[in-house]
Amino acid sequence: MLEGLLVDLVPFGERFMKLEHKWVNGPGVFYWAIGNHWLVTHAEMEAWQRERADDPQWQAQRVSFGVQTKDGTPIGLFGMRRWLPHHRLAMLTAMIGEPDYWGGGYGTDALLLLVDFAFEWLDVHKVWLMTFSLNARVIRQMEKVGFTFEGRMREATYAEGARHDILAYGLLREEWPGRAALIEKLGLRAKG
Amino acid sequence: MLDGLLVDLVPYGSRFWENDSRWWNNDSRFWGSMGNRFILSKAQIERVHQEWRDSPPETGVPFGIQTKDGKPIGYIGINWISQHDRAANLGAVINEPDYWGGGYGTDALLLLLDYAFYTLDMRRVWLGTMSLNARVMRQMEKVGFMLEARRREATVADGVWYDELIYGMMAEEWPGRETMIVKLGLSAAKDR
Repeated sequence: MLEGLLVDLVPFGERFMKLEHKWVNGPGVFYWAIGNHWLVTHAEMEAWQRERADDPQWQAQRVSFGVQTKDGTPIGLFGMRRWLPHHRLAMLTAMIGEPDYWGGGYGTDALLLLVDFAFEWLDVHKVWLMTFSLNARVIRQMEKVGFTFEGRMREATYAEGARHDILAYGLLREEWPGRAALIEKLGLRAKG
Repeated sequence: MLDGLLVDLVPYGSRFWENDSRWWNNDSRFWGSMGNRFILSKAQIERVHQEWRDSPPETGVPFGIQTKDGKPIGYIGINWISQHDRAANLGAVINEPDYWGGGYGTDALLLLLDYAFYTLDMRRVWLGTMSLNARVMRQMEKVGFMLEARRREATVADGVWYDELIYGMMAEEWPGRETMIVKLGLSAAKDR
């Protein structure tokens, strides 16, 4: 377990897999999947979960955490995808599936844990992610946490009746001051 | 068949597959990927071919490149399409090093761009390469792609970190193959 201030990261097990269906059909997926809405049946979700579990190549390229609040409520999924050990490169993925927990610092707390895990445990050289220009919350978060804006794929996604740019962000290990330093800098605190 | 000046594009069928165990293990693979040098067995390559056979046609369009006298020299195509966004990710590799630097790749690319924008009505095409690949970087500039993102230190090759460069082109930026042939002063194959 990776222990944060507002959340803990735990292995993405049964308790989270049961909620995955609700989350990928919910409003969070729009931001997670860069402007897509999904309609996924329970059967499709279970088949997908089985397929994932059985595919060694898929497994090797990912690390999946469940995010839970300090009282143990599951609220989202965070992890690494396309983890390429040879290039020491990893894409980050993140969704707070429960909208009640948007904007309260839960995602940032989870992100600091995940980035620290990537650099300090797995010796990743670089973490990166992409989002789109409608996702103001993540754009602000990237700035705050110290990711570098690396480019703009013009009008690469279509959502809400309009074309939007996809934005690329990256953070190199040497640019990461460490989780403790960022907690200090951002003035984060546990809920008391 | 898409008829070019130096090459034709044809479906990437068995005549090309026969070459893949040589092509995917020679130096062209290093440039065609982001600096990877995997050694692939015939069985592994057969599995990839099988995946291609099983994937629905709307997800990608692989072409074989052959010279005007019918010699297979490489691959170019749409690796995958996002139909919803009308965006296509392109990939290309001249697998026979004897044909590097002779304009074969550029001729094939012009054919593919006409196909993507005019036949498939794509809104956007894009591709990634590594900053070690000076030949492709020159080609992108020449053909009119825009450098949209520089993903810093995203790949390691020959012991050095290189950036991944993402190039994109929108439909309205493509003047058409005929115009490009005139602009670049391309002409048909001379007798070799």
